[in-house]
Amino acid sequence: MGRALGELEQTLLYALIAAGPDTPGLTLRREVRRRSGRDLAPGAVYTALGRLEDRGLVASHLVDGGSARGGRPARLYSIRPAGAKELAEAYRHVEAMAEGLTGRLFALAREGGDE
Amino acid sequence: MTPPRPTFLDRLLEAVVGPSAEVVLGDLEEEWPERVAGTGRVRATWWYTRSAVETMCTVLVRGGRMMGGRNVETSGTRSTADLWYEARALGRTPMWTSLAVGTVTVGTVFAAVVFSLAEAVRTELVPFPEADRLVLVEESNGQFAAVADPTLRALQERSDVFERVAAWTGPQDANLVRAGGDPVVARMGQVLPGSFELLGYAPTAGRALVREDEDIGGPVSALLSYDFWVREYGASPDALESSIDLNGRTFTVVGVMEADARLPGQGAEGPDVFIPILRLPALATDPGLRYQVLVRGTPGADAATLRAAADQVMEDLRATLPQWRSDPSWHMEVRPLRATLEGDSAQAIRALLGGAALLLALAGANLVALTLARLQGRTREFQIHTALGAPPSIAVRRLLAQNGLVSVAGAALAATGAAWLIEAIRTADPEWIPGAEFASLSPGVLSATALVAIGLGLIVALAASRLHPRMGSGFAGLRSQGPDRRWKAMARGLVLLETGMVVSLAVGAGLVVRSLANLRSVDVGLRLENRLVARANLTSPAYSNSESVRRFTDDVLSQVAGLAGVEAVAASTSAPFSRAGWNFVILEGRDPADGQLPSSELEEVTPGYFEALDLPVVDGRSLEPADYGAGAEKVVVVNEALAALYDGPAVGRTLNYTDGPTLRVVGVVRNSPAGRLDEQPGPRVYLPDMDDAFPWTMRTRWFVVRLSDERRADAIGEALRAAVVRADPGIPLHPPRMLTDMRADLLADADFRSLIFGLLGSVALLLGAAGIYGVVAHTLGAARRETGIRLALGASRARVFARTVAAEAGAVGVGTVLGVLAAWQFASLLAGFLFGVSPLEPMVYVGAVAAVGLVATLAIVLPAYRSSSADPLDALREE
Repeated sequence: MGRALGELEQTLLYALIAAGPDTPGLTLRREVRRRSGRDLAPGAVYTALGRLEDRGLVASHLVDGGSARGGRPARLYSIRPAGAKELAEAYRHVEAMAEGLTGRLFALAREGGDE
Repeated sequence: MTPPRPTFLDRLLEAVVGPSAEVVLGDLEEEWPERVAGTGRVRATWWYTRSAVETMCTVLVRGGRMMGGRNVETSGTRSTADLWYEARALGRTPMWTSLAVGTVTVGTVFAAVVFSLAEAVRTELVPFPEADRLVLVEESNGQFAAVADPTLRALQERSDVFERVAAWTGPQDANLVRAGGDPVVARMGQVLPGSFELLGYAPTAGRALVREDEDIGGPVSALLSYDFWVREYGASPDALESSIDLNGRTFTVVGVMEADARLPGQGAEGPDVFIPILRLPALATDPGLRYQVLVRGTPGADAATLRAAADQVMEDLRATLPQWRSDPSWHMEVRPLRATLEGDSAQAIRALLGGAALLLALAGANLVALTLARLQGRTREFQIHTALGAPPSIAVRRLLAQNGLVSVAGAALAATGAAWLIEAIRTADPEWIPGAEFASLSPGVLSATALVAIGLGLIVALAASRLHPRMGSGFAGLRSQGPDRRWKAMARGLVLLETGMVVSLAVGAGLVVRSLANLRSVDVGLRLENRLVARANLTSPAYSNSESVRRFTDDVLSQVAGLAGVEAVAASTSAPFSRAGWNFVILEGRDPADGQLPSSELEEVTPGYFEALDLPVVDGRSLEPADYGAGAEKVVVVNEALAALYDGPAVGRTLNYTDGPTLRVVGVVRNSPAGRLDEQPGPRVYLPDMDDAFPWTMRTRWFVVRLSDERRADAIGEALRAAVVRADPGIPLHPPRMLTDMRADLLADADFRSLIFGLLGSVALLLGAAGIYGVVAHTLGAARRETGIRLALGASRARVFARTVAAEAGAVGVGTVLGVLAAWQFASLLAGFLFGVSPLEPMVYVGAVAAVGLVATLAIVLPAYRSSSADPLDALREE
């Protein structure tokens, strides 16, 4: 197992699972925005996807863009089994750490909001 | 219908990100309509800008791949390759590189200096905590303003509005004697206990002054300044609880203030020793204006509340003290400290900022011309790269790398030049830039300078990429062509712009330099050469009457008068060119029109004073030995300014000072400047004696020695010092100075101002000349083929030359007119610095236009001559 997945990388992998295979980068950004409200810059997204592709966790290929993109190509992404495996590992880790703590976590978070 | 997406960052994005930019731009294009529909066009444009900038920053910072693929060249490695390539290319063209780097350096160095001055004003002039709650309080009659002791005590009692009160007097010279030490001259100031605490300063040793130190009857405390403690005591803790003698009174040193401590407006020339403002019964009803007062209002007290409370203080004093400020012109003034201290700098900073901005614009225009010229010469290179498969963005990338390198080098040189200039400004500490002594090249200033330089280079690169006629559509074909009409129009525009800016800067410089010339030619009314002056302060109690003062003075004069090399020696109570003590004066036969008495300065002088200075007597006679001593008639000599206040001749008329004897005028001397060369001298009275019939005794003595040879100055100065020691070993003599140096001090500010603006003007001329020459030379160089054909077809060289010059001269002419109009508009910014010259002085404008015209003509004629002298065969052979 290599370096642990970063927060942005995990976010994008979840979005990729939700959107399905051969998803353009723009659709991934829209999915992240819909689910979490975060508006990611293209540079951050494509750079993170580039790192995931280097590690063999996602695959991508270029396709021609239509007139909506001014004729510019789009890059489509799909999660690979290795990527799903690492994401599942990251999820199990969080689950293990957070077991039985959710109530206390949210209570502490509420106190922090009063300060 | 959705408006088109903005594209102003597309090319930069392509250059920075590389091929992957196509995908990102496609995303932006696709997402644009929904952004406009959701948030409106303005916010969508902001989203586009933010997305493009964030993407570029991510790629630059991470330096890695953006979209997977192991064989794709990373933008990081590509950027490094570009930089290396351009660095080698710059090294092969040292002339162009030097010009470009020099242009960036010159354009940004003044910006760096102005940034440092502005920062010094912002952070050092008012470095006190809660500075925005601090206000200066004064009582004023429109002529004089400060605070009297009763008013200070009344302000202190209004703690409901005035939370804390600080008060101080300006530094005065005092004779300080430490146990077992020689007397030294020290600057002494009085300060209200608690003042330093209000300003956020604490003692570095010992204790601060406290309320009990204001009471009389016990030992009087004193605080030392940090610099004085280090200088005189070697920072020894033995200074604490030691005794010092100040002007004959004994004080106990209780503490040392921290190193940065200073009172508002005093800077590095503040007091060496601080003594408390004592609660003296005699001052309880004294109306004399003594203190500067600073107040911190209670939280929530606004300007109106503070003003009302201050007015009430004056009203209460009028009700309780007889005759208190009965003249209705007396009123209280309440002014914010920050605005007061910074306001004096604002005009100077604005004028310098204007000059620096113009210079930056000029440098930018030059750099555009240089970049376009170089780009023109690299057209073939980029065509070849493109033909071999490089992306269209290669030219933009290389331009950015080229100009980025030039800017970084220029910024480094600008920082060095700015450091030198800032040091010169700190040393000069010009009065017209309050706070200049604190200027420094801080990290903030360095960063701002680097940002300006690099921004200049990159903006110019982008501008050049847009302006170049072929860059937008790619380089078609391999045949290079001569300059087309669009290039020629741009070149003319650049020449016009440069000429206009240079004319504006030259006019500004000319006005300031002319002012200096006017100041230098002010007639000071007396001879300066071969005059040595030095001061002694007779402030010990032994000199409490005029008889003792006269004995001391006569003793020193008699010792010096007989020395070899001394032609004459005399003494006065004030220095030449300086202000003197003043009082209201009642003139015979003159009733004040509005109840206001005129005021005049007064100066006590020994026999031969006017002769020692060669100050001409224009009416009546000088003071003679018979006018001195007990029993002599009380006579005076006045200056022309006071004589003019009489109806008719002044000689023979009388005048009185309030509480003083009647004095008869026996002579009138020429006016001499007092304090400033650019102000009309005010009325002044020269008295032989201020004996005990006067209610005050002036205890400062300025000795004036007329030398037969200026080379004897050091020896005579030493002899003067020895004479003072023999007359009284407890009195130190200030270092003697030549009168020419004192006059130079008066001119120092104007001198420095002329240097700065003269430098600005000269640099502008050089930059303008280089820019115009560069543009014209390049245009003509690119048109060699066309010129060669003309010459080959029989056109005369003279005709070709004349046509070229005429074409460029038109742009210079129009630029000159625009420059004059701009200078006309903005010359008023300099009005505060001018003396004897109006901002619209015609001769200055004519001179500036002539100078710029000459320089521009040379810059056009030289390349035109070379072009028309070339062998047409060489030009055609290139084909």
